[in-house]
Amino acid sequence: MANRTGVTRFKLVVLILIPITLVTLDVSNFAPLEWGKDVVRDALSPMISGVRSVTRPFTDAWKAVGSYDELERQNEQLREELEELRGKELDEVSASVTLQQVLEELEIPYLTDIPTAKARVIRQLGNFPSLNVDIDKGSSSGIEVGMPAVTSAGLVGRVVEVSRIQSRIRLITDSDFELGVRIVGFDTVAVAKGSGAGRALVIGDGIPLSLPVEQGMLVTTSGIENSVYPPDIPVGLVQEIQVDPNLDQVLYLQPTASLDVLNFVTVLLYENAL
Amino acid sequence: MNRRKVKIALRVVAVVIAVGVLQMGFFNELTVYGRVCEPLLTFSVACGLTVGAKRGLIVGLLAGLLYDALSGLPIGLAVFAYTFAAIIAGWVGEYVSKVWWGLTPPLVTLGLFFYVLVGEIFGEEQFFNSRLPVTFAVAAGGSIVLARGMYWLSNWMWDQPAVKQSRSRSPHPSRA
Repeated sequence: MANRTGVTRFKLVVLILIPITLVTLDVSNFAPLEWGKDVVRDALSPMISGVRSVTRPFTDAWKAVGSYDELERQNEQLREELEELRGKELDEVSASVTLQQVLEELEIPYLTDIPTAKARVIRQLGNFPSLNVDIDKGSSSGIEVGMPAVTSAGLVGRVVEVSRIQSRIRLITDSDFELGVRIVGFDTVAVAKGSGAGRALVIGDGIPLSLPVEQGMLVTTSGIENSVYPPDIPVGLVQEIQVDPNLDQVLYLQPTASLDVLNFVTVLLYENAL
Repeated sequence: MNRRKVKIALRVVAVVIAVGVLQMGFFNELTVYGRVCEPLLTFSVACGLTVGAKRGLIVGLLAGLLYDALSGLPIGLAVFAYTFAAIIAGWVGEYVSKVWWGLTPPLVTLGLFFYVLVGEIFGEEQFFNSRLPVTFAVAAGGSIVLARGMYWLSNWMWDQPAVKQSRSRSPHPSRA
């Protein structure tokens, strides 16, 4: 039975089934669908970049007007902070320098001889940005699905989609992310899991109470045989320790890499990852 | 398929792509309180209002597919939201005496609500957040600005003259 608008009930049912089918296929990485997405993204990316470049004067002006009050407030705040900093001697170094020192002290060779591809993070705009991160290098740069992505501070995530000129990285904080880790100084290997954007990674089991773990300890990739991650990549620092009913320690890790302000990442062209 | 239909089909695809490219390359940069307008959704709604639910469904489907492909989110979320919003817009367009810009904000908000709802169902937990009212408000406001242009574009795309809307309840020529 067709209604006045020409949309039958049958079509409505089909309409409901189409998105459900598409989502299901997409979640299961259905190859033709992935290929179609790659084609669309690769084809339209230059056009989108072109529009962005042409309209930049206007959009910059818009941003300048729209965020004037915010910039003024930030400027004021920065002035205050600068005054405070001038009054006292800086006795701390940046987190990345500290990390490098720790790595050197512990003789951890971080990214020595693995070929890499450096890529710029593509800003995600819109009202509902994906939790994944897009980068401007793809299969033409040797990147393949499964390869780890890092910054100088540590592990960022893993490549989950690759087209010719772009790739998508799932961040380590994603709730679907799991990786084998070890606490530096101990041989125990455990699994760390993401628990959502902006939240700590969690090592839920495998760390017995007898292990004297302390806050601030460095956790790296385990490097066990056949691991998709090279060994000794910094993952996080122990932020909080709890004890679960099974008398295991539950560790909450603060990622060493700043995932909120990613501009560039390095993809490790690591063969074990494939 | 005759030549006119081929021409219209090509127009539909080209216009949807153009609107999508403009959204990603231009409108997404124009933030208001950190949120942006939704031209593809607005266009789907505009098509539903001006040329009926059936054609709105086609545009919603294409626009949703394009948005899903470009956004990096699971394919199907925007397809569902946009097509439903377009169909409802088609039904609304059937029962109002005049298609005017004030119809788009509630329909765009409804489409976004569908989108968030479907996203939540399929595990996109970041969709539902405290900034959602601002998102709805900015998208609705943007749709007011875009509405008239989108109505015109929809009529042109489907190769039908823009109808001087009357207050009578006579059906739109495309649906007569």
